[in-house]
Amino acid sequence: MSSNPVPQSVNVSHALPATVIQQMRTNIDEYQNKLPLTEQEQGKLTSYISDLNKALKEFTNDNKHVQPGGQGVTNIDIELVNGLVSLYHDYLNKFLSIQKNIDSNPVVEGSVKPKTQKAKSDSPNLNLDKGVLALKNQATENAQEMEISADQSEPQNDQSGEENQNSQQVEEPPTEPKMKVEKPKRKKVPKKEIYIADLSKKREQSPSDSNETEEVAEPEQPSQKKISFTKYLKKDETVVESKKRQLVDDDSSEANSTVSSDSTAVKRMKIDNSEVKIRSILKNSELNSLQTASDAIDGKIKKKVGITFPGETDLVRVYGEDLPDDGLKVTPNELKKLLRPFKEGEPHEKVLLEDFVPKPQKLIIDTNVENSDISELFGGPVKCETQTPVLYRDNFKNFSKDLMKPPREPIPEMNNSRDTSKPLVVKAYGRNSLLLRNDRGGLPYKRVPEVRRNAYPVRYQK
Amino acid sequence: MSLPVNRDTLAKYHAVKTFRLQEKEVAPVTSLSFDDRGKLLLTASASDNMHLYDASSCKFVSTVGSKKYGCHAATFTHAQNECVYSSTMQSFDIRHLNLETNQYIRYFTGHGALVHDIQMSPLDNTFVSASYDESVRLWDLRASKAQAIIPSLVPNCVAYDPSGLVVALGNPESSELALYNVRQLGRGPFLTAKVQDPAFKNWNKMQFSPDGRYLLLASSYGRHLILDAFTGEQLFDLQGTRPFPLREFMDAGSAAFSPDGKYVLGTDYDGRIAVWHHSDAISGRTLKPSLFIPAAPESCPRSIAVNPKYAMFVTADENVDFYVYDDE
Repeated sequence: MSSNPVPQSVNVSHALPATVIQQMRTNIDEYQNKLPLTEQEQGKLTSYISDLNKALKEFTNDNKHVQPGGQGVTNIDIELVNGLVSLYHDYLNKFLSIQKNIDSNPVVEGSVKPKTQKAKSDSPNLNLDKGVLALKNQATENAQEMEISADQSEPQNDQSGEENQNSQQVEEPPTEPKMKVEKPKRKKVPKKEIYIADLSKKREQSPSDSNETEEVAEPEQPSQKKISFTKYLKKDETVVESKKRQLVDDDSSEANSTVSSDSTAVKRMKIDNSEVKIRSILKNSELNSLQTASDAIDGKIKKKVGITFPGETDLVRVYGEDLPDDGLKVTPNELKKLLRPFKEGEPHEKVLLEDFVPKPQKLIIDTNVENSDISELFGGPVKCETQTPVLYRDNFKNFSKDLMKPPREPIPEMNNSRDTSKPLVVKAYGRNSLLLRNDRGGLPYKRVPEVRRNAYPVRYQK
Repeated sequence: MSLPVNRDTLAKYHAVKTFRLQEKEVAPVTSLSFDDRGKLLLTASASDNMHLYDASSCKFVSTVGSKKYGCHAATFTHAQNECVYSSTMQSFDIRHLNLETNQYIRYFTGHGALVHDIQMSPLDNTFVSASYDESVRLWDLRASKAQAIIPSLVPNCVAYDPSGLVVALGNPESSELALYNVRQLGRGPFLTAKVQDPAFKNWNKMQFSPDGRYLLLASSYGRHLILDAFTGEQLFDLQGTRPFPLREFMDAGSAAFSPDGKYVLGTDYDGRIAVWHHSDAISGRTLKPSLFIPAAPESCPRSIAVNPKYAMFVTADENVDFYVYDDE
């Protein structure tokens, strides 16, 4: 192996000069960001491609001898050849991709980007596309007709009115033959071109558009409508379609009006359904609860929905086994208690002495504690040192109606964190003092007993 | 119209009403508490509900729900619209509940196990609690933390004397008891005593008589003891009732003093309430019931609470039975 760093065996007679390579590099960046290209640029592009192809072919032929293990061939030679070849390939690929993009987007300034049915089918807004499909087909047919006629006529720059719309498409640069060749490719449309917002372009394709074109959305709206249609599709596809038609189908105002009336009718029906005033007689029915809720909102005083009996003692007669043949007369309240003796969580009351109104009498308590330190609660002279107001110490009856419900949590105390005082540990007595030892004096821990229902039989006097 | 307390009037007490939950909710009643005026009754049940009754008319007032924390050992404070009770779930805090607003006022935190008894001081807004966490604690209603802790083996019992100056602490298993001066707790008990009969071990309630002379040790096993409240000396052994089957958890107690302190009423497993008259008896003797009051039909009450002001008392186990004086 030669240690000479300079490649000796490489034939560069057909290699592209460095200036050309530099120029190509510059133009690649330009062309990639500049689509569509002008004709001159396109011509340059084509020449670059041909030059690269030619250089690659000749250079490769000239340097077939540069192989690993060849006589007088060094690693540097191999690297140089491979590097140039890969460079030419790279540039060639880039130019070819640019040209491919050009082919797919014909270089005609101000022209419409055509839409294809394939792109439409890829669109997520399938329902949207269904409604538009028929129109597009018609539009493309019309566009083709116009293009053909435009080829034969002079281009027009006026962009207002039907003819002007059509003429925009017809306005072609000198490379008209190329555009004519590329016309069929116009139908290939990227996905994002599907959206109806391209009404300006649609207008150009559909000569039958009405004079309401001015009302059509502007080019900025595609993104907005994309979002809005998606939302509508999620909610109600029928509504979307009707709205879609309203925007797109400018041909038929009658169709729009009927669609809009249908949509409003749908909405009206929906509104009407929520205003049904018929009350269900079923207890705890959904509609009933909705109705009571709406009435509560309206501020109406609501009574419980249900069947109530007037207070008539002759109203109810109960027949059944072990009852008299002519029935047993009961009041509605009694019947209610018989049928539903228990309220949730409430004990059932059983009166043991009939016709006895329990009214406990106050006791005369003789304890002889006047000269003692006994509290007034036990008849003694010492006052109870409580800050409870008198109102709450006797004859209180205003208990909460919601005592059955979980109580509310207490208001957090503000001084808790500051209170670092510890409770007094009082001296224990007897065996309790063993608890203060580390080993508890060997005392075992006691299990907390469970509270269970009695398992033993009940004994009582009969 | 007022009524004296004597043997004749006690003999005319009858069961007038029974309150029972529907079968699926039936659970033992674990505490009975009258308010200071004897007009309201608060019961706690193992069904995680408390029940409020109008004692002056023997009517049910309201259910006080506590499904979130459970309830045990419910007792009125000195306000008829406030109660304190211990929790069985989430934590073992004691909760101070306002029955007018249905809102907790405060949580008393510190206990590490079930609090089975709460006794309100008759003198001020303090109370003591006895717990299975081997401690008895003194609280002030205005503070969430305990004022004092007394180490105490379980099971343990507590009671205030009628002056509110003395707290009795009892340990049935060791047959020991002690009296503490509430205002000088740091000095330890000023009196300790031991129950003379070692066979009397399963007592589960202590109560001072309203006149402060006696200390009752009540059990569910056919015996109760009355001690001298100043010396701890055993004065009377109350027997003559059938003992109930053994039950581990502590309830409201099976015996209680009458409002004048001269009689003791106790429940009997034979379905009746026994009345002992000890005030005229000679001390050091075993007393038998001077009369029996039939319990409510189909009811076998185990615990009893006597109204401090009105001629009625209440028994409970799974039912709550009201007994009222009826001279007819």
